[in-house]
Amino acid sequence: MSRAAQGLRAWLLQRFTAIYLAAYLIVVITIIFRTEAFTYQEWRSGLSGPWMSVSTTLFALALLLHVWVGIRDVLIDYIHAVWLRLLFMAGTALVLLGSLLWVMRAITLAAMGTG
Amino acid sequence: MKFSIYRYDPDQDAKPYMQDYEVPDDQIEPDMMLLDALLLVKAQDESLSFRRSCQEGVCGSDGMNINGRNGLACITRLSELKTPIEIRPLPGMPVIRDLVVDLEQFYKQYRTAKPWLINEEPCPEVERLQSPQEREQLDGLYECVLCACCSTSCPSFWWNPDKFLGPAALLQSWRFLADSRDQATEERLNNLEGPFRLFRCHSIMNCVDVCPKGLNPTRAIGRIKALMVKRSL
Repeated sequence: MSRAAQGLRAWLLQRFTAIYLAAYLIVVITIIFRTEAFTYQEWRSGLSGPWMSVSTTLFALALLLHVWVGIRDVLIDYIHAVWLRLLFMAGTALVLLGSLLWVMRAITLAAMGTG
Repeated sequence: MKFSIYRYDPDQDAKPYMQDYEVPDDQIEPDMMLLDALLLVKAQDESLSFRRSCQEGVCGSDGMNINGRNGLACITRLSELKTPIEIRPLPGMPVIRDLVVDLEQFYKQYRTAKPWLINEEPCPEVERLQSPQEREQLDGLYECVLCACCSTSCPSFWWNPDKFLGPAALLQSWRFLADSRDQATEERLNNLEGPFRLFRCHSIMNCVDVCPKGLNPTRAIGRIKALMVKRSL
């Protein structure tokens, strides 16, 4: 990763993902509050629509990138031994990647109408 | 009036301690500044060490931590302080003695910002002129007295004083980036890239809160980031 990517790009990534996260949450929360008697079935069918599944996948991706930059910032601030910082970063990356796969599995299952 | 002052002489003391002092109320005048009171304390105990010079908030020598907040003793009114007044050295810096700290790290970061005009053109016969609008861009930047109150109140500077420039040096970075006569914009921005020098700033804004001159390093840092974005487009 270039030096530029470690500074400016990470900072921009955090800002842009924050905008998407806020927009998505506002829309979804509005939908939930406007729907009367919100049930599990409605939630699942809502999630299976193409718009919803794509935007939710993007939401998960944006959230994980946002978390990655934030956690990385905390690790850079506080953990000064490079090997220990890399270990924590690798651990964080693993958890985030696992979470992404899990979210995508849930969305795919909902879209396929199974599970 | 009661004072509790941080004392540490590395040659004699195993560890720092707080020492109580009392200045008789009849010696305290209305509108007296903290530095005046510290001089009265020093008259009682001449082993107490602190820096001071101009006594009017221009030299930036007497930065210290006053009741938990960094400030210049010479322009801090006693009447605005809760007693006992607790005085400690600027946080995060190595203590040389009592309230005197080693600011070498702070000055090193200041030098990293290259706080001088870089202009490769031959010197003109008269000054390099600026329009009033161009000159206005430097307001709120050039007034810094390098007292270190901001940088030593910044958590990011506490954790990485060797790698993060800190608010004072970054304010000066922007002061020269914003100067119409400076030609080293590229070089200056390249110098600030990477995760540490500029981007350790998380807009905590302690710097803005404590600056005795009312300056706003966080805004200057935001402008540097905006210029970087503009350059990368």
